[in-house]
Amino acid sequence: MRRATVILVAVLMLFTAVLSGCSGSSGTGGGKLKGKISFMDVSPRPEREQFFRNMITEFNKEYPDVEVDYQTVPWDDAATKLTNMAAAKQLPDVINIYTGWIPQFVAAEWMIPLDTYLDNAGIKDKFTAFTKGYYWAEQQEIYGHIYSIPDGLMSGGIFVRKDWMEEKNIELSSWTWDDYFYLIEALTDPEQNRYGSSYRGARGAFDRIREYLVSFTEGRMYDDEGNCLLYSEENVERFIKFTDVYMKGYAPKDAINWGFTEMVDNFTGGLTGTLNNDTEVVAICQERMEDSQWTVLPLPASTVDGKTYGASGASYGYAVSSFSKNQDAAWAFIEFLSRPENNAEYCKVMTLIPIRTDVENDPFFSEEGPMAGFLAQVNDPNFVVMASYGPFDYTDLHQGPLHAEVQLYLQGKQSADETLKKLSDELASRMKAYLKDNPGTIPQPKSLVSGD
Amino acid sequence: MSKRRLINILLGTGRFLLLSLFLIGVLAPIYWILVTSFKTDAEIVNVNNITYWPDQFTLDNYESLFNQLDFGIYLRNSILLSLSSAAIVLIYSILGGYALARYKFKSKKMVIGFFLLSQMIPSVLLTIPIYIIYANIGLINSKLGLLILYVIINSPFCLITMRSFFERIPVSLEDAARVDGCNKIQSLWRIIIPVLFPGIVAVFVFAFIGAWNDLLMGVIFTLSASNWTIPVGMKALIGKYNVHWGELMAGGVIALVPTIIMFAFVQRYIVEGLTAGAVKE
Amino acid sequence: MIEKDKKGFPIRSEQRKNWEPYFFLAPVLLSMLIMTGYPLVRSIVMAFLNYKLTEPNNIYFAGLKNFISIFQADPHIPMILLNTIKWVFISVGCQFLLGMILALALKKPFKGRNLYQSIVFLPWAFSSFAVGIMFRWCLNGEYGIVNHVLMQIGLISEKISWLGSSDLALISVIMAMVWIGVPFFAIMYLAALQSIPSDVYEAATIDGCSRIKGFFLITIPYITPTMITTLLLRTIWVFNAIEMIMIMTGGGPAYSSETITSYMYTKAYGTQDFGTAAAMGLLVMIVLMLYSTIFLRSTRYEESGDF
Repeated sequence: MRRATVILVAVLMLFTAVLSGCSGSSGTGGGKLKGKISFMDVSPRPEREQFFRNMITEFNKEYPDVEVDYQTVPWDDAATKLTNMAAAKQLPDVINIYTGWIPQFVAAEWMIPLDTYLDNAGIKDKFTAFTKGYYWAEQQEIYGHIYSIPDGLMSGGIFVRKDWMEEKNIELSSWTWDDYFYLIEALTDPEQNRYGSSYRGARGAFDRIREYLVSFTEGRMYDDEGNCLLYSEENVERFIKFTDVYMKGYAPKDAINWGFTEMVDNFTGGLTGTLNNDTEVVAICQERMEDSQWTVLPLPASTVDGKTYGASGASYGYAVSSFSKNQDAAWAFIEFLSRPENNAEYCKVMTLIPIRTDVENDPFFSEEGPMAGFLAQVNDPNFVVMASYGPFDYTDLHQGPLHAEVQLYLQGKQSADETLKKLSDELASRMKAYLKDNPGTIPQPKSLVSGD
Repeated sequence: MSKRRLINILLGTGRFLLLSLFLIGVLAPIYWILVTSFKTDAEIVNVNNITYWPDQFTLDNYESLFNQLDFGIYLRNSILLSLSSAAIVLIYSILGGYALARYKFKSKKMVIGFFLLSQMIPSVLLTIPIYIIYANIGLINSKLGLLILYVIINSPFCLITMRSFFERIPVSLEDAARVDGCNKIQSLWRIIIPVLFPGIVAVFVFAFIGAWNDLLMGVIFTLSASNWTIPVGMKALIGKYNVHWGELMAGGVIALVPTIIMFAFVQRYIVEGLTAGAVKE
Repeated sequence: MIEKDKKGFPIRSEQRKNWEPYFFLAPVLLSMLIMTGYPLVRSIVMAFLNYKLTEPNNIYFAGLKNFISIFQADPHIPMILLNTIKWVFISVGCQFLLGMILALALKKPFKGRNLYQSIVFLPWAFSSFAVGIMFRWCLNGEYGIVNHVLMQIGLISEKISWLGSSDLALISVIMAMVWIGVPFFAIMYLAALQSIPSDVYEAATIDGCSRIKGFFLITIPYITPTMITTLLLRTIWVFNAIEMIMIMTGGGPAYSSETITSYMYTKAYGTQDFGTAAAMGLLVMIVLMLYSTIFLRSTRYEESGDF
């Protein structure tokens, strides 16, 4: 019933859009939407709050009868909080969803598919190849629908202390994983309390290791039967090589407990010389460091085929809650946030890669500077987005075993072989179980340009 | 005799040393957060030069808490909620404590057992059901909702404590009042409460601190920053991108100041209130 | 016949009116029943259901499946149980001992005792979150003041990673917990010690009783009720305390500072399997209830405790 209404309204909206000569997506039907919607920012910061409050004011000029309630929750507690809300069927109408939560939210049916909305708005083609070819393509492959509109896109890179490199006269002729390990070792200087790497030891630890391991498997995670490719005799050696960054003291001992926050904090604070992290960290570096101190290098290339394998996508997206009583208004707000000018402003504040084609040419993104590098990387035919962990819900793995098992190795409590085997067995068993009910869902690496 | 004196001197010295150790143990960490809160970001994370006193004394951290963030509002919310919930807990405790101390009734043990049981429930079992209740009666994101939670959380311990205070006051005191023609409530109000004053202060402080320091409920049951309390505001300083150590330490100091002031005034009453036999027959 | 209460005060017949105590207790009991009673009943039901938030259409009665799965699939449970025992007993034990020592040292008045007390009892007024942050900052392996001081006075030659080593992480968190918990014991015991009438000691001195003997024969029995109440409550609180662990180590590295309660919390929100979480929660409560009953029975609370 509700679905039918949605479609009906959507069709009506399309109709009015056609009548008004498709003069941009703005204004049409704005006056008709009424009611109250809530939007929860899961990573509040003063500049974000400022941005969203401005957006709401602008939005209300067009939709005066839609009241938007801006809500916040500390990032650390966001997941817990949303679970509580969802259990009470009280999710915010517009969910600011972290990409890692998507499998769980889809499984729990907490979000509605946005395909119809997107088609009816007729704006799908105006999104970048990156958005369509990777972000949405993957959601469609796995779930059959598009569930979220990314807020901005990002990709990995290696943040480096330029000044330390100059001091040590380090020159890099090529940039493969081996050069990366060499750089970390060379930047380490116990005398000066300098460590080569902001090693990630806590949540997300295995994401980094995986990035290196898949550079030997052409970006693949599983074979056609769902066996995990990460475990092999050679890969155990590579696992050891990667974790040696920690074991050999090129990272502080405390780094075993480091997550995202601590990695960034200690790089900008001057304790570590390299940081493997995402586009969004550019803003933090700009804020907290001198320009002469740092630069961003692309992800290192594979030593096998010279291609670059990395994760890429969005940190957050916007989705509509399935409990929402005002789904149309919620969509209208998302559509508003995704407009070129608004998205451009957001991406500048947050240093992300824009989602709209019209924005890519904005000098902020296209000219010299860290953002241009990221943009170049994702448009490079040699850049391959590695296969994801899988279509199954792996939040619990991500919150525990995926780093805890590695920590056991780092603390000398189990061998590298055991660690890698345990993790890839667990992943394989989940993949196979999922495959039984959903054939043909093995995640594949994607090359953006060629795929489009 | 001289042996006894020697022992006394030794004991005195030992006691002095012991007390000094405790003092250092308490003050050292507090000193460190205080000093950190006055440092610039650059100085805080400078590994090569750890300073015991800020090289560059700054109030920036405090300023940004109040100007960029809304710590003024959080502070107001915290004070408001802690004071009002402590007042209600106090009333609950006086009434309930009196009932448990002065009456014999069948389900007394059950009541006490229930209070004890309520302390054993892990929070993970509580939050979702309460969220559902709250969502249905519109108490999410309201100060009233938090107030009720703080009363519930802090009542059992305060009530049990209050009960033992009542038990220390002889019934004869009440009888005397009764002779003067007071009814039960009047005698409670006019005679018992004044005698109980230190105990009342103690319970009030227990409840105040319980509410003041809550983090979980504040995080789960508020939706907008205008309803945040200080601990929630502090938690938000641990961002996805970085920990604002300077601001976090400054927030910690702000959270401490009211409790320190309160403690300086009422600490005496707390010990006194908990001391039995203060009321002589 | 005049009935007497346990302190020997007479209870008058009119005070046995049935409705009066309930009237006084009604406000608190009613609000507590709604806010803890309902969640409790719901949890008991959920513990026997297959109840995953990620499988909204697959909720069914599962018998004991949740309870069995706690122990079956998880190889880390034994270590976490051991951690829990360490966490509870070491931290409560240290709080108790240090609190007692502090109270004894404070018993005799001295100049400035009031000021001293208002400082030394301060940690009790702090939140575990703030203390956790404070200790995490002080114990930071690189910029931590603790390492810095220890190195300066030559006790250690290399920086110690307090929170990053599986041998030290739990102890570090326990240290913070002890710091925050000592004043509670000290306040309670100081009050109890001061309640001992001085003539009791005087009589003992005349009888030629030594200090140590006096301590065990007079002091300890006198403050036993307080000890029972404080130890019992504190044990329950510490058992359920997770904030400090979450903020300092997040249970890591490699589960080395995880307790059953913090593990349950992380698991529940990670897997969204609230059936298993409820089962774990119930087990925790049953253990605590057993502990309380045994503890109260063995200390003969009928005569002495506040319960």
